[in-house]
This record gives sequence, structure tokens and C-alpha cells, in this order.
Amino acid sequence: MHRRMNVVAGAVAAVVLIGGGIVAPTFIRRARAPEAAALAPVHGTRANAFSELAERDVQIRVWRQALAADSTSALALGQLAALHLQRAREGGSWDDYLQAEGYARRSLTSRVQRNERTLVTLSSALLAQHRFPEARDVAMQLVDREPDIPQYRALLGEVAMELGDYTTAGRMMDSVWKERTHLSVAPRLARWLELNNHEREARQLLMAARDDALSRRDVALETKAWFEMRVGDQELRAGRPRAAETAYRAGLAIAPDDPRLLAAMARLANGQRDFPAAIIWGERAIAIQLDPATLGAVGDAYAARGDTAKAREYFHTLEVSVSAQPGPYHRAWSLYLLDHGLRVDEVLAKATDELRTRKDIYGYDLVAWALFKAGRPAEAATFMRDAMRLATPDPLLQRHARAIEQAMSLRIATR
Amino acid sequence: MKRLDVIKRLAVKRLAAMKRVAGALLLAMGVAGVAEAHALHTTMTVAKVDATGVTFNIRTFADDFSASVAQSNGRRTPADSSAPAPDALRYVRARFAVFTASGAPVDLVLCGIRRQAEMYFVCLRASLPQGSTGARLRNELLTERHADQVNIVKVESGGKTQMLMFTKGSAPARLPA
Repeated sequence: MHRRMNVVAGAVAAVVLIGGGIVAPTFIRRARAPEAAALAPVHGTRANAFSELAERDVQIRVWRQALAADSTSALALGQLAALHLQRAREGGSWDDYLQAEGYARRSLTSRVQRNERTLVTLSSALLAQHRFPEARDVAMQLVDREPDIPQYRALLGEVAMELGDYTTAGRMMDSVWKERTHLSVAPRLARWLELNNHEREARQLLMAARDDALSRRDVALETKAWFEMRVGDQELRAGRPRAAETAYRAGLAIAPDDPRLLAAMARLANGQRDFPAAIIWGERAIAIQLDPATLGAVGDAYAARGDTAKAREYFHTLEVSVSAQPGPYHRAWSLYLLDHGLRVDEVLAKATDELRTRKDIYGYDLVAWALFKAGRPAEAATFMRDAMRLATPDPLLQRHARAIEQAMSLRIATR
Repeated sequence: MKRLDVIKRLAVKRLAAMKRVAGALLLAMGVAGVAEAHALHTTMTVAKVDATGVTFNIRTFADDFSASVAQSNGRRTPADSSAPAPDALRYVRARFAVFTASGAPVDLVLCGIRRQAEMYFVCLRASLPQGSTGARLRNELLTERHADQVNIVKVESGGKTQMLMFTKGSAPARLPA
């Protein structure tokens, strides 16, 4: 293994050199398993993805050198912010998000005017950290400064969607309709349409954007894979698992080690009751990047196969991994905890607290589901009504609404 | 001054090449949805079982690893997140262990340690001349630092893969033969 790792380092150095980077060998870091890199052939799409990732480290190093020469350069700081954000997206590293935010703030301190792109980076870094109110403030600054740029309005619309401010979201999304084919607009608008029960239009829009992204040379491979994932997710929510699988596999053909796509395949396999496949996909994802929701999915698969010891191991690890989260839990993690009767009171408290500042339909759904799991169906029904207020055709929401409704009916019948 | 000029020239030279990439990146920023990001503490180990033992390749974040190595060796945490190899080996041996089927500890030999930016990669070899049947692994790396630490070990043996999960207080887990 050690020898193989050295060989890989050499291969990476070669790729870096071909890519026009610095001579010093590098190694893909952050959530990219060494063995994943070792298996990478040096041809075809995968080689491109590999070199793109390796290039990111080189780019960061070069811009750091530029920054060392001029420590207040807004350009260098802004580029470093964007590069760290992109590396975070490619590897999911938490520190990269923090660094992106730090560099972006320094860049904006150096230069406020003509630095809107850095504001976009800052807003995205804050969004990634789920600091929605701050992300909204930054997005509003952008729209105030450049109201004519549709991408900024779409960004504000997205943040507003996340915060449950559907009035602002609707206003922003309406205003970008003419530019709906733009890659920065289409996925956000598609999500808005889907939330508002315009599934067919959302699908058309997202697929057209995906096709556009795939055909362009200036779109990062990670982003192309992300589009496939979004299409897959939407297909799955619309009850088309085969189409979802096709999209996920297409994404994996672009980025074979993308942990989000591997995890999506695990969830899909669980839904199709193909538990051995769910374990394989899920464990591949976890070997690259730890994600508590995927731990839950693999635990479910082991439980379904009757391997209770292994299932317990996964659920325990899931619990431990989320135990020190300071803010609200990730929504998917919370749902796993609730579905398995774990930390119900804690999830309820955190979700209720989050609802004070983030009033989106999924926040209401989470509180409703936590109340339901806590044996409080009447209160759950109230929150579920808010969760269904946009008539979103999401099977998750519908399943929760049905369960709560049944519990209420049963309660009335019992009385 | 000369050095500064060289760096400046290098940066300017790279600028044109970066422009294309930066454009793509900024496009990517524009399409980014809400990321699935939360801070998690984890190490990842790949264990390869062969006829005479197991080779472990541990990947860990340098800042945490360096701090733990320094603390366990009674030193100050280095500002550069470094970890001298002898100190690192002492720390790893204290928290990462292999036991034979009879419960005897197996000596772990360092087969490499290297720093790559924010990561450390540590290679260890456990010699098991009688084979790995019944052998167990304990992995408490960094659990003294983070209560939510999760150590994942991917074991490759005989063409099969198995995942082992370790958290604070986990009992040693059986290695597949």
C-alpha cells in the first residue's frame, strides 16, 4: 500500500505538470481516500476529474504566493476564497469553507467596489455553513448594488427559499424568468417550481440546464456531476427511480468518487430493497467522506439483512458523529435519528430553535415529524399544515402528513 | 527583494492560465446550491490483509494529529501542525493497536509517514506470521481530543472489503481473515 501511495504521488505530479502547474508533487487531500486516487486511471473523464482536483491545490498555492507578494490584494484574496470554496465542494472539507469565508471577508475589506464576485463567494460559503440570515444579508447587498444582474437575484431567491421567506423568493424568481436558461438561474428556479408543485416545468428546466452544463467546456466536472445529481434527486422525488438511477450513474461516470452520488445510489438501492447494493454504495461513499445520513442508510441496509450487530454499529456511529454539532442538525441526519427513535427530544429542541430564524417548509416538516415521534400528533398536525402550504409534491412530506393524519384519526376513533 | 520579484512574475505568469479556470470556478459558484457541510471529526484508514500481516495506511488531518502527538509527548503544539516521526509513532502506538487471537499485542512497525498540506499519512505494518484469523484492532486515534471522533477502517482482505467503525470507548474489533 505504501509503495502504491508513492506511485500515486508520482502520477499526480505528472498530471500536475501536464496541467501546467507547479513542479512540486501534490496529493489530493480532504475526503479523497488515498486508495481512490490510487485506482484512478490516467485517461478519459476520470483523468480530467483527477487533474482538476489536483490542480485546485496548485492554484491555491500559486495564489498564496501572489498574496504573499501583496498581502492586501483584493484579487488574490477573492481568488483564494473562490478556490477554497470550490475545493470544499469537491471534497466537502469544513475548513475550506471557513477559509473561503475568511479570504472573502479580507478581500471585501480591501476593496468593496467591483468585487461583487467575492460577495457571491462569501454568500455561498455562508450558505454552505447554513448561516442563512448572514448569507441573505450578503445576497441583498449584491442585489442592491447590481439589481440588473439576474444571477444575483437568483442567489437571493435561493437564500430566501432556504429561510422560508417565500414572498422574497417568489419575487426574485419571477424576476429571473426571462433568464431561466442561465446555468446560475436554472437549478434554483427549477427547485422553486418544484416546491410550488410545478413538477413538469421544473423537470424540463433542470434537464435543459443539465444538458447545457454537460456540453460546456468551462463548467467544472464536479459541477457537471452535481447537475446529474440534482436531476436524479428530482426524478426520485417524482417517483421515477429508474430515471434517477440513470442520472446518478451518469454523474458517477463523470466523477466516480463523488461521495454525494455514491450516497444517493445507496439511498436509491435501499428504496428498491436491494440492500447488498446499498451497503456497497454506502460504504464506498463513507470511505471517501463521512456523512451521518449515509451511515444511517447503510445501517438500515444491514438491519434489513438481519445483521443487527452491524446495524447497531452504524447507528451508534451516526449518533456519535452528530453528538457535538453546535447548531441545528443537518435535516437528513435529524430525519434518520427520528426514524430510528434516537435523540428525539434533542432533535425536536434543535429543530424548534432553528424554526425561529429559518421558516421553510422542511423546517416545519422536521418539527412536525419530531413532535409525531415524541407522541404529540395534534401539535404535529399544526406544523405539518405549514409544511404542506406550498403543496410541494415531495413523497417525504406526503408520507409524514399521512402518518400524522392517521395518528390523529386513530386518536379520535379511540376517544 | 529578488525573491519577491520572482514570486510576482510567477503570479502574473499564472494569472492568464488561471483566468480560464477562475471563470469556470465562478460559474460553479453561481450554480452552487446549499452544500451538505457540517464539521465532523474523522480519520480514515485502509487496512490490507495479506498472508503474513496487515498494512495500515492512516489518513488524518494535520492540525488535530499534531496537537495530539505533541500533547501525548508532553510538548507544545507546533504552530505549523507538524508531528516528528518518533513522537507520532509513540502516539499512534498508544492509541492504535493490533492484538493476536490470543490477545497478545502485535508490534506496529512504521513503514512511512508524510505530510501533504493539511493531511498526515501514516503507514504501519503489523506482522502476523500465523495469519490474521482472530486478530483484533483497536483504534482510539484522536478520541481523547474530540468526543464525536469517528475512525473508519476499510479492511481489504481476500478480494473482499469490510468497514469497521470506531468511536470513543469502542472495543477492539475483529479483523477479517
